[in-house]
Parts: sequence; C-alpha cells; structure tokens
Amino acid sequence: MEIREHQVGAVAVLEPRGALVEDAGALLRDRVVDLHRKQLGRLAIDAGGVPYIDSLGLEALLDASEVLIDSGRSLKLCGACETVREVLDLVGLASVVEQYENVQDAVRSFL
Amino acid sequence: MPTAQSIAVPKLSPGESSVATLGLCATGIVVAAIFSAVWWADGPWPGLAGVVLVSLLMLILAYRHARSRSETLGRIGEALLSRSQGESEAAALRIGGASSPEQAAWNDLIDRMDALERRALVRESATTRLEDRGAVGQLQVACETLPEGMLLVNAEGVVTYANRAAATLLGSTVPQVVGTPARSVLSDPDVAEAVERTGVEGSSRRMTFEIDHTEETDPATIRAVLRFSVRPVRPGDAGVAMVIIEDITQQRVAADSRSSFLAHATHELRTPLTNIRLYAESAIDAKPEEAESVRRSLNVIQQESRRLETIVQDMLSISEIEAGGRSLRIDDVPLGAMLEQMRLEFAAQAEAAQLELRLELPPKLPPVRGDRDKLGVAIHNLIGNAVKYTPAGGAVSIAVEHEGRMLRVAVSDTGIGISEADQAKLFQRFFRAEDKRVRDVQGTGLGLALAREVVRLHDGDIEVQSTPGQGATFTLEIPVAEGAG
Repeated sequence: MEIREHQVGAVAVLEPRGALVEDAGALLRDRVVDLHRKQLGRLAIDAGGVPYIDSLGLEALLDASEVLIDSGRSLKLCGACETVREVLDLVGLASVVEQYENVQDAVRSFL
Repeated sequence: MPTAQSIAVPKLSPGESSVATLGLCATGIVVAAIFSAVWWADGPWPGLAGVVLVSLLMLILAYRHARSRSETLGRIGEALLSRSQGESEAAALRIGGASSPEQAAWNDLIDRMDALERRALVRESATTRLEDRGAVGQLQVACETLPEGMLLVNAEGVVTYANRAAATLLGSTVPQVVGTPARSVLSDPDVAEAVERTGVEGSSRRMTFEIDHTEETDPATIRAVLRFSVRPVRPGDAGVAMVIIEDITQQRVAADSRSSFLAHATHELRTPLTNIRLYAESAIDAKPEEAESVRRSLNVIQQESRRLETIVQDMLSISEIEAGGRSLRIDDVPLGAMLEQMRLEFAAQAEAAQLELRLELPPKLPPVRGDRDKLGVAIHNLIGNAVKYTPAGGAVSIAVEHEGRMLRVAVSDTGIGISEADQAKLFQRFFRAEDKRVRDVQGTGLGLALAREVVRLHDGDIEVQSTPGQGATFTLEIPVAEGAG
C-alpha cells in the first residue's frame, strides 16, 4: 500500500491508496502514530483511495483512533467510500471516528 | 427512611390483653370454688363469705390489670399520633412507666424502626457519596478527553494535574509533567512567571499568551501556535493556578491565509485596474491627431481587461472547488489527443521564445475519467508555466506514462528551477517566487493552485521536483477510466 502525505494549512493529510487489508492497516497505523506527535494531533486520513477494509484494517483504525484519543484528539476520516462507511457503521466504529465528506471539511474541523 | 424493609414486630396479638384479664377472672373463680368447697364442709355461711371475698379480691386485681393495660394502650395511641404527625425521634416515641408486654413490644418496635432508619440514612449517605464520586469520575474523564490541554499548578509552582492533551501539546507525557516544576514544563518564561504569580497571589485576571513555536530558520518545521490562558481555579483565590492550552495553529494559518489572499487579490486586481484607468484617461485627453497613441492605449486597456478576466476566473474556479462545488462533467477523456492539441497551441509561443517543445506519447494510451475542460485547464497551466519560465535556447518536454491504474503526465523544462523553500509554497494561491526572473514574467500566482485543486478533485495529485538552475518537472497523476487500465 502506498500512503502519501501532504499538508493542508496546519493539518497533515495521509492518503492511503489501496485496500486497507492485512499489513496495510498496520502501515497506516504506524504512520498515524508517527505523525500525531509531530503534528500535535492535527491530522486527517483521506480515505478516498481505499476501496474496502478488512478486520485487520479496522483494528488498525481503532488503534490509531485510540492513540489520538489519548492525546485529546480524534481520528478524522474523509472521503470514505460507501463500502468503507458501511463497514465502519456495522462494527460500531462510526461513532469512534469523525467522518467528513472531503479533506477541506476535515481541515476546517480544526478551526 | 425504611423502604422495602420488613420490620419484625414482637408477638403480641390484639386480644392478648383481654384474654389475660379473662384468665385472671377465671383463675379467681376457680380459687373461690376450691375455698367454698373446703369451707362448705363447716356450714354454708362461712364458705359463701370466703367465695365472695376471694371473688372480690380477684375482681379488684383484674380491674387494676385491665386499667394498667388500657393506660399503656393509650400511650401507644398517643405515640402513634405523634408519629403520624411527623415525629421520628425514637426517644420521643418510646413509652415509659410500668413495664408491660404491650409497652415492651412497642418500645422494641420503635427501636427496630429507629435502627432501620439509621441504616437507611447511612445507605443513603453512602449512595450520595458514591454518586458524588461518580460525578467526580465523569468530570475527570471529561478533563482527560478535552482537546484543550489543562494543567493545575500549586502555590509552590509544581504541576499537580495534567490531562493528556496538555502533555501532548507540551511534547511530553502525563507522568513526566505531573510533579514537575511548571517552569521546566512551560518553555516560555512569561507563561511560567504568570502561572507562578497566579498560584501565589491568586489574581483573578485571566492572562493569555500566544506562543509561536515555528522555527523561522527551518521552514520544514511544522508550525505550532499555542494559546496559554492562566487563571486561578477560583477567582481571587491563591493556591492553585489553572493553565488552559489551546492549539490555535490552524486558526492562525487560516487567518494568515485570508489576509494574504486579500492582500494578493487586491494587489493583483489593482495593477490592471490602474493601467486601465491611466490609459483610458490618456485616450480621453488625446488630441485628434494622436490617433496612434489612442490605439496603443486601447490595446493596453484590452490586454489588462483580459488579465483581469483571467484573474477573476481563476479565483472563482478555486473558490468553487474549495467550497465543494464538485460540478465535474465526467466523461472519458482521451488525454493523448488533448496533449497533441496543446502542443499545437503552444508551438508558436515556444518558437517565439526559442524553445524546443517535445511531446512523447506511448503508442497506446487509455482514456482517463474526468472533466475534459477542467483537466485541460490544469495541464494548460503546467505547460504554460514551463514555457514562460524557461530561458531562450531551453526545452520543454511533455511525457506520458501509464502504470497500473494511474496515468502520469510529466512536464519538464530546463528553466530557472525552484528552490526547496519555494517548492513548499508553490501551490498556494498567489504565491510567486521572489526571484527577479520570475517577477519579470507576468503571472497571477493562481495557475498552479488551480491545477492542483482540479487534479485532486479527480483523485489525482501534482508533484514537483526541481533543482535551482537545472529546471523543474511537474508530474500530474490521475486515475485511468475504469476497465481501461
């Protein structure tokens, strides 16, 4: 899996490209953990390039979310496709993760 | 108050008192009968007198017994009345005087009720304490999950509480912060002094500091602007200072961006407007024989009007995209044909600038899925920039590569190149490098910002690689149409 990173204002946006399955989840989690301290928690995940997600990916998202919650922040996911949104909803992660339509909305939530 | 508790009432049936009285009378009659039988043997009168005497004695005893019990019952009745009127003190409800089974039963009942009430009070008190503790627990959880940092600092200047956000914002951990002198945790001396002063003096005034932790010398450093609000926990009360730490970096960036946008927009709009006004005045003031001068003025006015139109159009396009106006007219876009068309459009300009313009297309190129016009604007801006900023004798090449589901268009030039610091700001609206060679070329600083917004709208992106003096390569990456990869 390829994970790109770019800044929008003061917010770091991670862009995973590909399905969040098997080891890909751990990769994303590690990037979030690495970034959250440098960014003081100002980060968002642009999930527009994630077509689907498996249990390991969900676990990784939960881990990443806990890391952010521990610093008084929360995981912001934007542009997730319907499949990913449905899965998050089914497993109850939708209430843990903040979801936004697009990157701009996620960035604006830091204002 | 006793609620659903059962109270063990002493066993005393309601008719017990009268049964006892009747028993006493019966006993007296039996005793009198025995006496009369014994005395009857000596003649009827002495026996009869004995029976009457014993019976009278028994009747007196029974009367006294009954009166004593009725008095007890009367006092119980009074106590019940007091209870019904709200008296709850056991001492007031207990009855004294001669001991009787009714009195003992009533007092026992009152004692048990009193014990139950005391237990209920203890339970209620414990429940209240637990509820209070629960509220405190909830409060602590709320503090822990606050996005704002919170520190409590005692009069000795030592941190006694830090939530997790505070630790993160201070670049530390909760165990490292708690128990540490505030001065060593808060890097800014003004904030540390305010905290110490508040803890000692208890000033009720809230003091606010905004500290910019951006390293000006290192542009790669991530910016962090923190706002520290210092005040005592209770206004005017010395002892504990509270520090609230807010991360206002994004607010500051947004405010700076707005100011910068306004300043740039005003400047960009004012320049052509000033030219239009000046040349219009010149044309108006021209004498009839100065027709050539009027023509030149009108030409300038026309050029500047077009420039204004371009600026306003670009600004509107960016604003539309940023505001979420995803009005893409999606279609299969044959990128090869579009690039060939652009090469023809730029050929004359490249020739005039003495540049070599190359287009390298692979033999087979899948279409991309997107908005033909918007993608055209993005690619047009990339090629236009390359042509504008490449000195005479240089070359501009456009190469296309197809890999997996992505298609890459690389626009390379042999121009002046872009410094690393400028690369970081290149896609910001109105950004133009300070380099004189850039400033000498007319531009709005909106083209690249617009190009990147458009490409991102298509789930793609634009990257730049450059070494100053050795040209630059802008790579636009965009997904191919489904089924075409």
